[in-house]
Amino acid sequence: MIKWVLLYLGLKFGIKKVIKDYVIPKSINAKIKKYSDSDQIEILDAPNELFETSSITKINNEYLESIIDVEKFEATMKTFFREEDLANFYRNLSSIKEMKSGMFNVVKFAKYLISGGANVAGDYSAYSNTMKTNNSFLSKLMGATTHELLHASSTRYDKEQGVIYTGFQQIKVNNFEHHGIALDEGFTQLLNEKYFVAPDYSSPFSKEFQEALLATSYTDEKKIVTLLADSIGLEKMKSLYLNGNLMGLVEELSKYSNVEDVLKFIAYTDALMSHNNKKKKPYEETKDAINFVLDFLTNVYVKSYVEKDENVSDKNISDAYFCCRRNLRDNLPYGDSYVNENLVFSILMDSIKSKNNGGITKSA
Amino acid sequence: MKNIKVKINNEEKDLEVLYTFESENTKKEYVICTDNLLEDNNLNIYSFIINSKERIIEKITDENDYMEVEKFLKLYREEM
Repeated sequence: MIKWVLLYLGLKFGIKKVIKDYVIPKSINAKIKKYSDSDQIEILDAPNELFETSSITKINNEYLESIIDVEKFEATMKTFFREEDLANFYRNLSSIKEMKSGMFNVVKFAKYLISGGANVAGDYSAYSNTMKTNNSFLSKLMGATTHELLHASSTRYDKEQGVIYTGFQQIKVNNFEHHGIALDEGFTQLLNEKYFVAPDYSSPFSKEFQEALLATSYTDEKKIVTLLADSIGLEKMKSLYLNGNLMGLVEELSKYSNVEDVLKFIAYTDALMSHNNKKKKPYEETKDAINFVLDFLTNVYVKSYVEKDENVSDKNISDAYFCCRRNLRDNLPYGDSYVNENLVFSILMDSIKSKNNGGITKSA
Repeated sequence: MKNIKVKINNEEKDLEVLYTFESENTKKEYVICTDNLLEDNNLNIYSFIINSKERIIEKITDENDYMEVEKFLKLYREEM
């Protein structure tokens, strides 16, 4: 909420930076002290951040400047993400270089393994902190550059452990074992479309065409992370993502499920992304995986809905039921999927029941 | 919590930084602080101009600057 207000104020009032998300309660009146010329004011000490003007970018990188408006990108990052989550962003974008052909890219290799060699609009290598995007007009319309820069902004390569932490993905460098690519790509593109990609009105292509094109990018994966963001909170997801904290996401989801199921959910979403990219026909195992993912998302969404709404137990339960059902129907992935209405209802009832009994133990 | 130490008419104050913003009208940056004290049921708010080039904070003397700060506070609180 605060970030949206800042954007609004930024557009309306030209705010360039806000040091603290502080709100003076509305019930308290605030009065600005005014001084006359004769008043003596001496500043004894002030934090350094006050003098770091955001209009002057901290990133000085010729390659980056050749592919993007760095100041605008940085300003958007600072507006929509917390300053303390931007360490990977500043470190990697200050030194990112163009990827030369022939450079080995472990992330690309993992992507290749999972996609079966499907064409990608861009690449980012955590090994060498290099990136490239193909220069096609489709790649530009789809925001490939900002997509890759978001990967760069959320990547940390732990050389000692030999593990790349990138958004919601982890890759072991020695054997390419990887987890979370589907959530990572989905969330990267979700953020990209939310904050960076806007229809290009100077383009010969219609707004509708451009929107339809964007809709084809990680379609199912975006739906999955949208439901997760609705459940555990977008701001929390953004923070975990920028810090490459897949384990943190597992912990958050474990509040609504058991760890084994969370890990299974991640493995299945990866497997389904791979399967769908290879354009294979569904078979029994993929159907089981889809059903598991849909049930998992339903479970997390409904439980978090009950948790967030303090009065849900006193309200008309059918309101909660229809609301959950509608939101799930809008966001569940995998095309021909449907909402398991019985499951929504039973999870809703169980959650309300356990909430009402929360903390009360049966006497012996 | 970020604080500014300031001496106002020989009285030392520790002010908590609430917001900083740049106004498109004046092209100046401002910092808004409080000492967290209520005076006549009003929270004391202090504001200064940030001079990033010189890395100093300056006293506001121009009414236009005060108006920008007031406008910001009003807008910010209304939107919240």
